[in-house]
Amino acid sequence: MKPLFTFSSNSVRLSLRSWISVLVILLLFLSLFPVIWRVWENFNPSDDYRIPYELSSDYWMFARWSKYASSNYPILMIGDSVVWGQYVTMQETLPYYLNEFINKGQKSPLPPFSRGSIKFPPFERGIKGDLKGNIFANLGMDGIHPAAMLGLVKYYGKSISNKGVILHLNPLWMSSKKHDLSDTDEFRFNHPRLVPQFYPKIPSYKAKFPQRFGIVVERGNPFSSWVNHVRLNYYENMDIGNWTMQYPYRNPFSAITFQIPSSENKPHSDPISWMERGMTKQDFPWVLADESFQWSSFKKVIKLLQARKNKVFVIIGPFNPYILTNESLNRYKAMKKDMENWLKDEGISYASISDLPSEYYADASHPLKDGYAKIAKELFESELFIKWMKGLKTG
Amino acid sequence: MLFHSWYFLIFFTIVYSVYLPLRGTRFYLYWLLVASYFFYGWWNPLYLLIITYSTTVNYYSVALMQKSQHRKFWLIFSIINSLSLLGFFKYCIFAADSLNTLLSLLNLHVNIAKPNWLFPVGISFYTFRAMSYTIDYYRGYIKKEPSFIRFATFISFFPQLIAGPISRASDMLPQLTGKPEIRKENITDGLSLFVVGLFKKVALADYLALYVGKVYGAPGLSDGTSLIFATFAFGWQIYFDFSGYTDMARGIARMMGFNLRLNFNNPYLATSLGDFWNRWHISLSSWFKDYVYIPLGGNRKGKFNTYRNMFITMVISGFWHGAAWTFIIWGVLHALGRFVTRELERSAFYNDKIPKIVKQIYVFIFVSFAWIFFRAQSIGDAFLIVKKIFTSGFTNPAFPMVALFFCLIIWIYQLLYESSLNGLLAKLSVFSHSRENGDPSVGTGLKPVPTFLMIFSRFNVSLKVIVVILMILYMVIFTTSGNEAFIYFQF
Repeated sequence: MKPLFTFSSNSVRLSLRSWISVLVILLLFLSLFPVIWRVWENFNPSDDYRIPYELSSDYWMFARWSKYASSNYPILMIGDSVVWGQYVTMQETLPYYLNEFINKGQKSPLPPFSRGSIKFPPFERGIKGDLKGNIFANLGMDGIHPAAMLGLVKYYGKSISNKGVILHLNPLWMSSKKHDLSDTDEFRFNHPRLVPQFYPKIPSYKAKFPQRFGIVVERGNPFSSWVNHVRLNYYENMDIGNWTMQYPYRNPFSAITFQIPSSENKPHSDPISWMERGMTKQDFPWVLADESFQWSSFKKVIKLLQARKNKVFVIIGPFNPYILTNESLNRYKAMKKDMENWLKDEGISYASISDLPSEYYADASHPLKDGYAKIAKELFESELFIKWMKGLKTG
Repeated sequence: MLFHSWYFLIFFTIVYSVYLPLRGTRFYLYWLLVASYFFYGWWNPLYLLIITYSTTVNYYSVALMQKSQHRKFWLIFSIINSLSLLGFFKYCIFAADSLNTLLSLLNLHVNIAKPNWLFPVGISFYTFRAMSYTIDYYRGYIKKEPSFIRFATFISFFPQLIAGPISRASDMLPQLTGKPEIRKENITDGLSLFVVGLFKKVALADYLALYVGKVYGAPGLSDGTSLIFATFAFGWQIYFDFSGYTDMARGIARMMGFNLRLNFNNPYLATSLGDFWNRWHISLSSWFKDYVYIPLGGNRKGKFNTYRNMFITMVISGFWHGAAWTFIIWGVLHALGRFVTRELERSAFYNDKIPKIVKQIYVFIFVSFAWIFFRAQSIGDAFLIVKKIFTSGFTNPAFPMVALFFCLIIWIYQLLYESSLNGLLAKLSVFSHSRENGDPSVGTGLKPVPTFLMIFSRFNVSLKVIVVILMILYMVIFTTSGNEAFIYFQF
């Protein structure tokens, strides 16, 4: 004889019809709320905007900014903190200097070495930029290595199509098997939520199944990335429990101001050279291009962007040659050569940034402001780059 | 494998989708057994050896009891075996620790090595389940189960395997005979129980644990006010944690067509300590009552023996919870509490003159005080906490208002639920369930349901839908599942 079922000591007991209502309302809420949120939350990117550093893992924010940038700028620059500008202000980044060349040409307030030496005339108009006339948007995000970049573009950069895209490759991510993520020892790297969770297998990524599965679910669901945005933006990247432990007497709803913090216009790290920083010579082992997981991911990013009808231009480097031992430098050059060959074979426009003066490097891969200005100048002196940009206009 | 993990979601999806078509065949028991063993082996495959051993010994003890003239011998054999198993895995470290302390007090510098073997989660629960079968058979309450597979499935049935409820053979074995019936109410009730349980665990218990863990983790650094708040918070934490687990377990079982016992019934609304034990961990309290208290004589042999039996039962109950002196003191405190209040609670003055809310508050305060010994990491910590609570002045406890709001709102909800409004709510519930078929009075010859009640009924349904949506959204948006284990897993 089956015992009589006592439901519970509470009355939250729903009928089938009620459960269906719950399901329908939840589905509507989950799909519509992130969209409505965009209307409520103020987002007015300033000139030379870059995503605030503290939101560097806010992929919902990236999706929003990339959508905005795609509608307002013809050329988007994607990369890690080298593009973002770790050691410089918003008015000293590479996209900023590229815009300065376009807008002011020889009148640009660039450092003396570049002023007056520009061969390329102001860009023939025809491509619309923002109100200021800027055409390059800074989509750099701290710590975006190529494997993460693939996830970022794939899942959160869907609005990037029919654009000119400058992809920056920071060779530092291939400087060792560890950074290349091809080592079998566990390594806690940046942006694990963006890398492939199951296939291809990343040897140094040891997350457990529930975490990987949760990440896969999150990517397919804009609501999850919105939740992450709310936590990052309003709750100091904490859940409500931990946040109220920090602020026991505050009303959690009062933290929601519907205001995205503006990007602080100051360098994130001290703008001093690598020598002043006390860095010494390094013997990076480097990986072979053919065996590199990061390089293979980067190639996939190019293909993905091309499949979305974008015109891609690749920038390899800069990389500080003075920090490398001779042997390491030779290995680096060999790897870079292989990468250039592949780009050439695939017919992809690229620029391999030449060595900057030693004092222009802040560390192994980040330039200081003069370094960025010099790179901008170098790009505008590159025939390939000019051709690529003209191709954008006609294409 | 925790109920609130992706592992479990995948596990249950697979198990359930195979279980549904198999339900009409004799293979479903095999499938349930395989699933349950997989679920248990997920923690550690070695656990399977222990549960298989316990199941086999208890099953065949009854078989031998049936055939043998020496029924009592086989009963004692199986009880000793079960208790030895529990003692070996659960109490060895405690025994070694206690002996070492005793020896050092006697100035004997001998150190007994502490065993370092694994503690199989859930052993206390399935051992008690198995013992109930053997004892009930001996008493003639149940028949011998002819199928070993069915018996093994009863012992290891995965929703209740790790932390109960401790179901009885007389409840579960009949349910495992024949085809489990699954109607739409099974699914909707199961989902309702699961969601409420999940909310209790993820949104409430784990939340309160942040504060409790911080304060109780370093009682020496915490002030008296924080300790008071943390003590009350722990009372709610352990309630949400354990009753949340039970709700989920009952919900899963319900979806599979099985009914597990109610294990919690708003315990903090108890008006006496006796009442509290009728509402808290009901399956364990009734187990101790049936297999310890009553065999000792219960209340049949005078006051002294009644109190002695109560004392023994409560101390054993404390010891069952954990192998530490803190748990024993917790049991002793409850026993002493019962001594002091039993007569008072039976008096007309207490029952008629004292307002119900005062009784509820006094029980809650006493139970919370006892929780200090349950939660503290050592006896020293527990006494330090008690001392600080009674000697420190008021300071800012920095207890989150949100947590206070949740506890208060739930307490008020429970109060209302058990008040005279309950009748009205029940009526509304009937109306809301029958609303799909229109006015329930039609064709019955009864008076038509008043319109205002029908409107209320609709409001009640909408309110429940809103509550469930808010609970789910709160969990999705505001909580991070750190996959915190349930407190009762350690027992």
